[in-house]
Amino acid sequence: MNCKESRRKISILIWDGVPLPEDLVSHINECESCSMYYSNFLQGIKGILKHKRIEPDPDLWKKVVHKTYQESNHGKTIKLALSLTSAAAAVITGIITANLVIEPNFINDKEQYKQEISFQTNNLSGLEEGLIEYYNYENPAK
Amino acid sequence: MTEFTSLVKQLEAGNRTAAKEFIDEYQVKVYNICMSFLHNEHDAEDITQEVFIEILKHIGSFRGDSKPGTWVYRIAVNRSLNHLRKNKIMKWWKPIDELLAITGLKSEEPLVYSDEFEENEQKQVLKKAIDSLPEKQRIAFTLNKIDDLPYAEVAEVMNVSLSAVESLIHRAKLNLQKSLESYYYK
Repeated sequence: MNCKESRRKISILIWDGVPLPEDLVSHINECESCSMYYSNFLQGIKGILKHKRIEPDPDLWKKVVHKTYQESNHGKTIKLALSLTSAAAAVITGIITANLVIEPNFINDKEQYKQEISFQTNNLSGLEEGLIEYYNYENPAK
Repeated sequence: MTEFTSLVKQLEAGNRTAAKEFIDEYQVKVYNICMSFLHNEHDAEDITQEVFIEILKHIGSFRGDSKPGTWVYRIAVNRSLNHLRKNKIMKWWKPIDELLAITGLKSEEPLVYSDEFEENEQKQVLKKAIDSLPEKQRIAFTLNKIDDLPYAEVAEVMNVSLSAVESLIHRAKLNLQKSLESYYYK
């Protein structure tokens, strides 16, 4: 048996928990690299299987109940938050809608408002005032 | 009415004793399945709890056309794989102590070669090789070779034929050989 065949057989049979065939055993005993391959492989499997749990966790039931309770409470908190947000959104929507309904009156008075505001220079911003002042300076009244 | 159907009825009715018995019956297997996919005790415990919460919440959706164990194990596999996918992006953020714990060392401990260290190292190599298998091969292989589920049950959990499971496991063994050889003889 050559090393290639030996490793192929080791890789397949090592998992099955059955005794290895005699020819494979004698090759492993004679070949240092295949022997190393086999023992490393075996150690790896042992290491992985070591962490398997045999006894049940007596507290798992309590943990599941606790987590379910937490999730349910979290769900209730989210529901409450959503309700409050919806209520706030409804109030804001109401205010905006009311403003939109009232808006046309302002639009109708827009022209009048414009005329009124044009004579009230104290309502102008600093920049606007400065521009007017500059305009009046450049174009003095005749 | 089978024993499990009766249990399902009791669980649906909110019978706490029935729920506790159900958890006690399946928890070791579920934990071991989660552990064999996640390789982390803390994550395996968390996912085990999530599996049972999901089962108890959705017990009504169990149609009874497969064995109860199959249904439970399928949820455990799916939950574990979803957890891995979710956490894949986060793996670089693991604290150094956790990384060292994987190799069996504590940050303050000196590097000493021992049988346990050697076993841990070989475990890491094999674990990495198993984790790098294509997903279906990995599931079939892990459930059969690490969690001791018979081929027929693996086929049910994965919803594939028995011959497909045999083929997946055989290919997994050959792929493991390739990975391990490249590690041992690099």
